[in-house]
Amino acid sequence: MSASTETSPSDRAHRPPFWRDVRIIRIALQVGFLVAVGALLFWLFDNLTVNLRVLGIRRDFGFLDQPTGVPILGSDFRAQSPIRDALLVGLYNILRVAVPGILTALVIGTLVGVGRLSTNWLVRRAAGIYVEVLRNVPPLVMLIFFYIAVLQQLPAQADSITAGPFALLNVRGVYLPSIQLSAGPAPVFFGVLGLALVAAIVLGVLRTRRFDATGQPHRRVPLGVLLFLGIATLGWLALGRPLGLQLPVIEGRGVDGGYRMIPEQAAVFIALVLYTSSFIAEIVRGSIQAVAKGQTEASNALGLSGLQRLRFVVLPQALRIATPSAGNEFLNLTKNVSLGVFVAYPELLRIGRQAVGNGFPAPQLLFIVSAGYLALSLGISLFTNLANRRLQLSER
Amino acid sequence: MTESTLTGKSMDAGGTGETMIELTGVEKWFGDFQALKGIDLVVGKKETVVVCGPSGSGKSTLIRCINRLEVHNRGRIVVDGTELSDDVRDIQAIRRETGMVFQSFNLFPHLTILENITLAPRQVRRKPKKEAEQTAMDLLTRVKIPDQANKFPGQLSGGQQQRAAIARALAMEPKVMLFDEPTSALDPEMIKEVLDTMEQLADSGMTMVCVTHEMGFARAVADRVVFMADGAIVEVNDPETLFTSPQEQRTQLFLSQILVHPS
Ligand SMILES: Nc1ncnc2c1ncn2[C@@H]1O[C@H](COP(=O)(O)OP(=O)(O)OP(=O)(O)O)[C@@H](O)[C@H]1O
Ligand SMILES: [Mg+2]
Repeated sequence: MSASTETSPSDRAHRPPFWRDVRIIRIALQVGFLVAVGALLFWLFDNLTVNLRVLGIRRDFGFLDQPTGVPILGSDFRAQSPIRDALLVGLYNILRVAVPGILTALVIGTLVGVGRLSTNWLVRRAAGIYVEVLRNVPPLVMLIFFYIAVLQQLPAQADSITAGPFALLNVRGVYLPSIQLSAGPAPVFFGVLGLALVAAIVLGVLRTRRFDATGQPHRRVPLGVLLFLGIATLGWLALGRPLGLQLPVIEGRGVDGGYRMIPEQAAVFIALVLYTSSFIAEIVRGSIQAVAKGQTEASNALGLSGLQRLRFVVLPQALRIATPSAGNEFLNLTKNVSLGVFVAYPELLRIGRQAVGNGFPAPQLLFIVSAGYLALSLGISLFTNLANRRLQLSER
Repeated sequence: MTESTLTGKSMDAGGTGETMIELTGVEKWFGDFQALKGIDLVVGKKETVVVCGPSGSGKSTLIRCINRLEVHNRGRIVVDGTELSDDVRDIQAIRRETGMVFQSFNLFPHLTILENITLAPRQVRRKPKKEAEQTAMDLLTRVKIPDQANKFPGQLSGGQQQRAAIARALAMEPKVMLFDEPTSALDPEMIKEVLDTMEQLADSGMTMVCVTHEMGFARAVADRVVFMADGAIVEVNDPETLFTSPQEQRTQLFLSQILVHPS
């Protein structure tokens, strides 16, 4: 019996035997668990150090400064650069898929999710089929399918598939327009954009004040956007078009200009966007449906229009319900970028494995790979938690 | 149903004698199930009509048809001269003129009480913010919870929430108020505060249709009581007559059950 039983309010005469005492069982379980975890960790660490010593493998991180020895696919990374830099490229390559992937999946998922609630039969069925097919195929299968069965079957450069002058598609990758800045007036133009933004916000505030004072519709969003675009266009013309789109053009044996996505990256991007958007669609649908029916009835009874009901009553509540689960999907997408290793997309895991193959120490490298993914995931968690906190606060 | 005597009473507008709501031959099906079997009822301006009857008799369905939360399948519904049709403009017009109070309050949980009350006046009636807030505060004072204005619904007691819901409906300055068992979800000590609010409202000349089993309220406030069973109106009369000497057997049975278990 521990000292804590002395201070217990319960009568000593009625204390059960210690093996049936809930409080003692609880403490014993926790102590037991702690001991087990500690023992396991000690055993693993001991095992690792002993084996590393026996095998003569280094345990320090000094190798990070040594030359990588191989170039990296789809980047101008040189083989002489140190491993440290190669790993950073790997990290960057995760973000290069994850960030646009999350945004695209969110947009598609929202549209499909709302589509599943449409009153239009065709839209509803199409959205339903999209979700049911995509969320039930393993993402790795989709990835390999897009890589081998689609992207590698694309025509050679000379016969590129084109979308007007804007995009090129061939076996060497997907080429999209990129934004080109002319060095001189570009910074000035960014100043103009800032100014336009401020002007739009001021207009929005004024329109809101007018709405509050008179009840006349404010239309602050369309008016603000119009003002922003107007000022931006004028500035752009006045500064001699400092910002332009650079279109990809076939130049001899290569493609000039534009943004190139290597097939490996395109495959990971497409597979993960399709897969994740199907889950986001379900979250969107579920969240809208989870808003109580009485909320819709009360809105209707008050004479709110369908749009007003969505904007002021249903969506704010649905958003609150959806945020935590949507955050999980963002995390999943980010971590799933590591599947890219199967199509040799040079994300962090692929680069780490390649280095291990070239004789660099595996434990440290895999530790770095894990830490890299962990750091990105924690960053995304932080974002969604902040969003979640804000929404919850406006609730209570 | 075939009772021939009741049509007279149910089509006899009380209040000022002018018609506010007119239902003729209203029928409503849920699939194969007929929930309303030809309802004829006229509610006069400034009249208070209480609807009672056993569970499942169609009381909620009836008043929800009046502001088109349910769509009736046959018959005519005219509110203040506007007939309910598939025309969105008519539907919106009628919804603007009718306030509704629900059993489960249905306040918007993400908005404060003040925002709950001013939302529709500002967005639908396009009232200036100050004016809408002033009206809201006046109404909150009238339902005796002015100090709850900046709280969220979840922070109020049931009775306070229901009074806030009444204020929200009144803020649209409706000509008709519909109540669907507004006190059924409340603890006994809160029922009175809501009923007092409703009684005050009736005294101020509001046209009201109330589904409720509060006999005390019906006696004190109602001009007429409508007794429904199985989707039809069985008996309509002034409260005193209906409660003390009901004509129909069905009414007698129902009243005896209620009086044994007063709510
Ligand atoms: N959405 C619906 N779908 C199918 N049947 C319904 C629906 N709404 C109501 N009903 C049926 O219509 C009948 C009348 O329902 P209603 O809610 O109007 O009864 P009520 O008189 O208000 O009962 P209560 O006192 O229990 O509220 C019931 O038999 C009910 O089962
Ligand atoms: Mg009911």
